[in-house]
Amino acid sequence: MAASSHAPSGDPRRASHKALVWLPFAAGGMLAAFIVPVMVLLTTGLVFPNALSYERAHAFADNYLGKLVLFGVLVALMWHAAHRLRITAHDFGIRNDLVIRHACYWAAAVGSVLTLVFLLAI
Amino acid sequence: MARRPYIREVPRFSWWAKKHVYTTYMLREATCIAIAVYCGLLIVGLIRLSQGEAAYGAYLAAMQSPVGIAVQIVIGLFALYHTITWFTLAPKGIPPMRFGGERVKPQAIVAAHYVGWAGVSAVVLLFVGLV
Repeated sequence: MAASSHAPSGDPRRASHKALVWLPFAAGGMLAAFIVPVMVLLTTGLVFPNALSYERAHAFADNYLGKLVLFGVLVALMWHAAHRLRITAHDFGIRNDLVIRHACYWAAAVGSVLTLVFLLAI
Repeated sequence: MARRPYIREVPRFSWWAKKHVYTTYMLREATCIAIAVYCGLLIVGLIRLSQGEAAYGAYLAAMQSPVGIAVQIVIGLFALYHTITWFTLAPKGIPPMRFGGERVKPQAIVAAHYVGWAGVSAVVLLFVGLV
């Protein structure tokens, strides 16, 4: 009973591009669930107030492993938020999916490019 | 067709406010706004970090000022709500698993997520804080 890309239109087994947006949504959601609470705790400075000092933050972002981690985390979180906001906008009373779709995904795309550009500038 | 069909009115912007399960659903979905705002704050941090020590110092001071902390506490509460609801939904989102011939109980899957979360949080905290 494998999913078939040849299933007829309307068949739930038919191959769909939804998987392409759903996968980053799920991956970003999982990442957000696991690390955003502890990240917020650290960026407030309420624990380990010197952990994010200029020297330490710069040292972390100054090599390609650190850049890759920061890029991966930020991009996953942004695409998660963008997709969820797009899907829920209808429930919040914003019913023009064309507008909200462009607003959400373009915001995530611009955020991803900004992240990449400024990570490479460090 | 009836000449005066009954159409139940559904308030467009506040339909979810009257029933508790709808409100918690909207609260869960709204957590993505807090996460988006937090990403924005972090991107500003990267921009300031690329501009040098003075710029980054001002950014960090703002993040760790009373206002910055208050904003992040709100973000953190939304993030925690996302974590809890995400773990609660986890058994429904992943394919059924079998272990030793028996189906893994949903509670076990949720519990495993909490254990993993505690582990990841501890590792991040110790790595960023002490290493």
